[in-house]
Amino acid sequence: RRHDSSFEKDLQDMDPIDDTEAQKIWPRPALENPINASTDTVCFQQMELDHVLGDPIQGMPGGKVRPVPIVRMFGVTERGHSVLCHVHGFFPYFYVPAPPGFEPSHCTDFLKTLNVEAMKVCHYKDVKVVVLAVRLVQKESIYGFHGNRKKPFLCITVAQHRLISSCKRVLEQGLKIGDLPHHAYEVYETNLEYNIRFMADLDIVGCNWIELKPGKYHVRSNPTSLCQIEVDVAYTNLISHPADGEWQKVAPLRVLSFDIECAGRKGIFPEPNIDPVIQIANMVKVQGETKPFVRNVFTLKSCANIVGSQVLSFDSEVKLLEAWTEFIQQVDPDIITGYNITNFDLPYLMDRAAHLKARKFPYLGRLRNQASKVSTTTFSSKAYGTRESKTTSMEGRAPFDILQVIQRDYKLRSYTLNSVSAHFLNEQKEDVHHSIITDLQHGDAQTRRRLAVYCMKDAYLPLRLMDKLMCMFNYMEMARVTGVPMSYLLSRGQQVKVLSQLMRQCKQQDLVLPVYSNQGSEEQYEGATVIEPKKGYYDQPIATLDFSSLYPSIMMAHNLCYTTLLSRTEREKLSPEEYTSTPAGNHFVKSSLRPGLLPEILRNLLAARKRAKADLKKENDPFRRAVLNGRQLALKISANSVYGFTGATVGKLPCLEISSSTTAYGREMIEKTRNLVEERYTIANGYSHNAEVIYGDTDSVMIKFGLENMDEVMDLAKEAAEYVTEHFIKPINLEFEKVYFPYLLINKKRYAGLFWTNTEKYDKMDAKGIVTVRRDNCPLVVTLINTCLQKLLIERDVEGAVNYAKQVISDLLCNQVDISQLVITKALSKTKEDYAGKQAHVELAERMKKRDAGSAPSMGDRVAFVIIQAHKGAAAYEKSEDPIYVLDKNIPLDTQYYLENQLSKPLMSIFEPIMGEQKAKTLLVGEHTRTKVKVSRANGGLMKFTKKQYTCLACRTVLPDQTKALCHNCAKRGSEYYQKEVSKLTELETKFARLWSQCQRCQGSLHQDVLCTSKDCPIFYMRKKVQKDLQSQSGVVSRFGIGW
Amino acid sequence: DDGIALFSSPNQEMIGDDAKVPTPLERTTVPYEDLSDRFILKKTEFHNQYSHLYYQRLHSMKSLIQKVARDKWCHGDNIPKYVDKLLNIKPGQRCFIVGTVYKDMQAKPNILDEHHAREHYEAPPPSRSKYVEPDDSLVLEDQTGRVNLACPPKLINELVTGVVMSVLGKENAAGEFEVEDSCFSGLGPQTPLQDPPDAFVCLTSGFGVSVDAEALLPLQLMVDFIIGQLGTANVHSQVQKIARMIVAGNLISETKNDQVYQAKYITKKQTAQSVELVKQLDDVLVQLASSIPTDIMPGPNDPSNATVPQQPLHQCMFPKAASLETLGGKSNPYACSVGGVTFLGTSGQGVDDIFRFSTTQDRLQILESTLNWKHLFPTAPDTQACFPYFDVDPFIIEDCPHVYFAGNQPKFGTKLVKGPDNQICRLILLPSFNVAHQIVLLNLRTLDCECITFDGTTDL
Repeated sequence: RRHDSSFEKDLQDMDPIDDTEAQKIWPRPALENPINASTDTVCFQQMELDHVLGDPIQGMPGGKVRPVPIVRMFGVTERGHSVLCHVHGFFPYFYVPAPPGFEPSHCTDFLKTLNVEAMKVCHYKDVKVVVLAVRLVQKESIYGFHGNRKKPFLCITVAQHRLISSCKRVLEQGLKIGDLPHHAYEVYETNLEYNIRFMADLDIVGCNWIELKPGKYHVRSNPTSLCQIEVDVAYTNLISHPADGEWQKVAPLRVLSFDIECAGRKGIFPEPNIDPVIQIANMVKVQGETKPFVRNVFTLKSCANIVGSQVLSFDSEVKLLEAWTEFIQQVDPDIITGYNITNFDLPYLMDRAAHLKARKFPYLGRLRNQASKVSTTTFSSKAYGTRESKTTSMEGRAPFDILQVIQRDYKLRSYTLNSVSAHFLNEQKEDVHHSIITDLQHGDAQTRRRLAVYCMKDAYLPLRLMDKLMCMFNYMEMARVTGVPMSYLLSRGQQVKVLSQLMRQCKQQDLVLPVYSNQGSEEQYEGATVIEPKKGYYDQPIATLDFSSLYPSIMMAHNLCYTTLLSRTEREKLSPEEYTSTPAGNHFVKSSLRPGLLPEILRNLLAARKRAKADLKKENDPFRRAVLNGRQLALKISANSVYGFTGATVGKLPCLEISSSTTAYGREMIEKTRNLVEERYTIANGYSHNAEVIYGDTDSVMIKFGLENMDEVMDLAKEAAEYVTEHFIKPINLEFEKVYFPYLLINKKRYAGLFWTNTEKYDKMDAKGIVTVRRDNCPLVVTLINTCLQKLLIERDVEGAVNYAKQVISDLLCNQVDISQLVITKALSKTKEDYAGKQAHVELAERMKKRDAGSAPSMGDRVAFVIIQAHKGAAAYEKSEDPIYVLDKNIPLDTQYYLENQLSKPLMSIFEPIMGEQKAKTLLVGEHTRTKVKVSRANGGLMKFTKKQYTCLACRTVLPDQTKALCHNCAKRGSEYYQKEVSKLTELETKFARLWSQCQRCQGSLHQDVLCTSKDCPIFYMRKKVQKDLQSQSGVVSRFGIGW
Repeated sequence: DDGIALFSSPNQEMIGDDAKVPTPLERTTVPYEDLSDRFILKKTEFHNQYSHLYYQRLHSMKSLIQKVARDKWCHGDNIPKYVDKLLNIKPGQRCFIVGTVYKDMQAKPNILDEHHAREHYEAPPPSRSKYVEPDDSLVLEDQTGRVNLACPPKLINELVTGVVMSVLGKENAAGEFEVEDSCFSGLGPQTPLQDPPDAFVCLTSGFGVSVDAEALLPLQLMVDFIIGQLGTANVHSQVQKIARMIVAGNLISETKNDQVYQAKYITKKQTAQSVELVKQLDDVLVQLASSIPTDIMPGPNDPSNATVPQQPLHQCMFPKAASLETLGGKSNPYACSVGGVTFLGTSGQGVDDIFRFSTTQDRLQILESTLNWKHLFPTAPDTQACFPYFDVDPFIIEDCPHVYFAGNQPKFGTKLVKGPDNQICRLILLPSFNVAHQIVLLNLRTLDCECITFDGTTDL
């Protein structure tokens, strides 16, 4: 663990940067020779992919008149050269079922009619033709079993992707073709994305390698981009390599991480129309290398030298901004990262540049004449909630905001860079409040240097987080497994990933996807049920058996798929042996009749995962291990998201028959497992005890075999797992995973226990659902419950746990708990109007906005608050307050609230099963709850009108002589009372000294004041509080007089 | 054997009973002056940060150390340039600079680690006798910035955070300052001794009064010796010459200050563990101060504040002894002049702290270094808790004392140091009395010192 400001040191430890040479290392390695299309092979890893309507190119397939659809693939070669590859000739298409009587000869007529009608409804000016081709093909709808018979479909190819909707409208209204009657068409696959369609059809997956053989492509003579290699190719001429074997490699991608600082005004969040951008720090590294090779900072006004980095100072903001764009163009990053760059830094820079009319600024992408633009999108997903998101277009560069990665992949109490760094890197980061930033900027080269170091650290940390969490590998592998471009993984939800896989399978089986119109139905299907828990404290080993990959294996075992779903009419044509009836009352044909598509996808994913895990075991190279591990994780997540896709009612292709059947099977299996176990392991069958399933949930069952010996329990559990597995269809597999001993079962999804996988030593303490995961608990609850559980389960010290709990309660009531332990955080996800009732955090955010609009939390932020004492009868939502404000104003906290609303419930839940209800209750009443300390407000309220009266420190009588510490009676015991007060003083002094010297170390300077205001740092509130406490305790001690 | 007989009969009745003390000794008196005013806190405010203390330290030592550096390095052909701000160092240029040392140590105890451990219910990081690690490194800092020092391991090992020094060298390509030579402020000016009286000052520390009655025997023996209740007439004539006694801290043994770790409903009725011990101490001090002017300094175990400077032990704790004018409650650090001989000393925290954060084993060497660095507590406030001074660093050793001591050390040690300007300084490591049963008698005339042991074997 490092806390010292080792960052400057880290910088110095990197290779020195010579200012005069610094800029020379910016560009990519030069091409040895210009590319020769007739002799050179171009091979690159594609990283970004988009499509445009562009000019046709001589010698390329497709239309001859503008506009034609062109796919642009951006990538990097193995030697680090950047590539732009224009792919020509791939036109969008969709399907409609051919109406009865439709003959191939009708195609021409159909094409003409549709084209005319579509031209009428389409309002694009440059469209000269809509429909390019109509073919009669044999396809089958994915939805439902149709006796394995293909049907005639019309495949309609159009000139531009956006024209599909015009055709759809026309077709749905109906057409009359030749001698056929007027017919309204049902459309298929009109809602698929062009990019995904292109990738699926060409077997291209995200981040894979593309090869262009000599003679099969053209080199652009007038390049449109800044890429070193720019070529045109027909879509039929490119070779796409599956990401296997050699082609798992990763090109030397350039990753830029940057951070900006703005000089805001006090109390107001920076606004691009007013507040200048004063610094931009940049770190560029090559993926796979440990240290960034470019480290620089662009500053407005001079800035003192920083060893190990380049300082570029500018006297005007426009020059600074434009120089930065030039820097981006030269260094040419493939991936742009940072912390919250998507929603803050990039839009801010764009808005600021627009305001200052820095015309050369917005060219951040790889295309020469394409200015970047900011657009706002609302992204809604079941898994991630609703977020408003901004997108800054930078063609050819993949944005990869680490904040978004972390918000997606990890549940944390706080997502600030400070707390994220503390969590993952074990490193506290100095946090300078934006109002101080302006002061530093207005100082001298020295103060700006301080700011620059801070800014550079904020640019460096995202790179370190990326390495530490192996984001790049995991996301790249996810892109490869699911087949979507990497940037989709952050900007899009789960569905597109499943859809991409589905499309690839459909193509092989001649299936077409119907267009599901979203009715937004809120149809609920029954979720996973649990076996009612037999609550209690179990002081004996409890074996846990788990179904591995439960939902995927159910879908495979029972052949659950769109393609196997039986309608009543189809079912009547079959004999009962040919189909399965699910517990949810749906029917699916057996795989002998038709193997399902989803089971096929799942089998592939799980087999691939098995291979990746096997390879991972063999692999020693850390780089390749990271790739493989990323892959096996991606495969696991993908397999599990298939079930979710079928259940997403707002999705592209929901099929509740599949999802509800899956969960119904799950429930049934848990029940069956219980019966099998409880029938077999009985005294009647010669076992020493009757086994009992005490709890079951989703994919696991917990069994009390009644034995005390861990070895015997584990053996029995393994045997039971095998025995039960035999009763299920493959690949359903019940596995013995772990034993809990002891085990405290509180309720559904709420339990704790020591987790054993071997008989020697427990692996860890496992606590589910008690308090740990829920974030609207204050940290005190988490610490208290965890410590009590440790004492109860590991140390088996009930008394110790009770005493500890009493101590914490007493400390709480005596106001001795650190305020950071009492902070509750809640996300501000909607505006005030959207919340049904009044909520503490929303009300506080409103109040804070009135006090200081700049520092007040905004949408999406987590609001930190404590509960304060308020007038009698005040509602809970009125009692929330900003912790900093509380410290400043010395506002008393409502400790009773914390005891009753935060501590008591979880405490009771863990102590009741062990001690019994009556005894457990004594925790919340009794001597330890009677000593309380009242804090009085520093100012405000009645205090303005009262005069402070000193009382005797010992007996609390009002002192006649206000200068003394003790009354006449107690003065005899002066030594005793003095020593008591002094011992408190020494404790506070030691704490004061340690806290403030720690902050100095962390900020990396002894001679400068600590400015940090990181609310996520565990010692931030402490530091502030100890200052106040010490001041007051020092006052108490001084009342004894100086003496001598 | 006299010693053993005396040992076995500590006259308990005598303790605390003035009437029974026999004829007092005719004790030599010498002029005395308390010079500790700068260590007395006039107002106690805690809103300042520590940066001011470092600033004052560097600021007030800078010109002095610059002069030492010039004298040392600025002659001959290759005269190095003085660079006033670390920021202005030019790569490759040979120069000398002045700054505050920051020693980057991975093993340094850290309140964040302890906090983390507490939250995760782990054992706190174990405390160590030394926190040095092979990869410790030095940084030199002033208000303008920091520079990493590439220097011999010896320097890294011996130095600690907070020392102000000058280094000669140049910045290399890696941006480090390659140290060729280094220097410190050295000893301050000193008024030469002018015919000091033929008398002794008794220096001791670590009475460590505890609940263990047996442990009190050597202490009582020592008290009897000082007040003239032991030994022959010959001994008495010697004892008469002891003009003053200085007790450098830890008058009582360590008590656990666990109130803070206990719930208030438990501690409400408790009294500090030290109360009983201080009562006993009061009895000891009555005996001593009735016979000899006695200065008591607080130490880390005593009920005074924890940060340096520790303020005098409050007289309300000594209902008996405090009424005697001869008992003086003093600060830690403590400075005084006895018969024209200047004393400066601490209860030992400075030496102990430097011991933990340097590889130096020789504590006498550490004590000498602090004199050379011109600072009593260089590691304050980094690892030594310290009051947040704003406009002064009172711990700078402006003038070189004649006697410089540190209390509560494991072993007695002494050395006479001579400065370039004829300064002489007697360094003394005072052993903890409750461990070594030793006191030190310093001859004011010769600055020689002798150590007397009260373990029953000493021939008195």
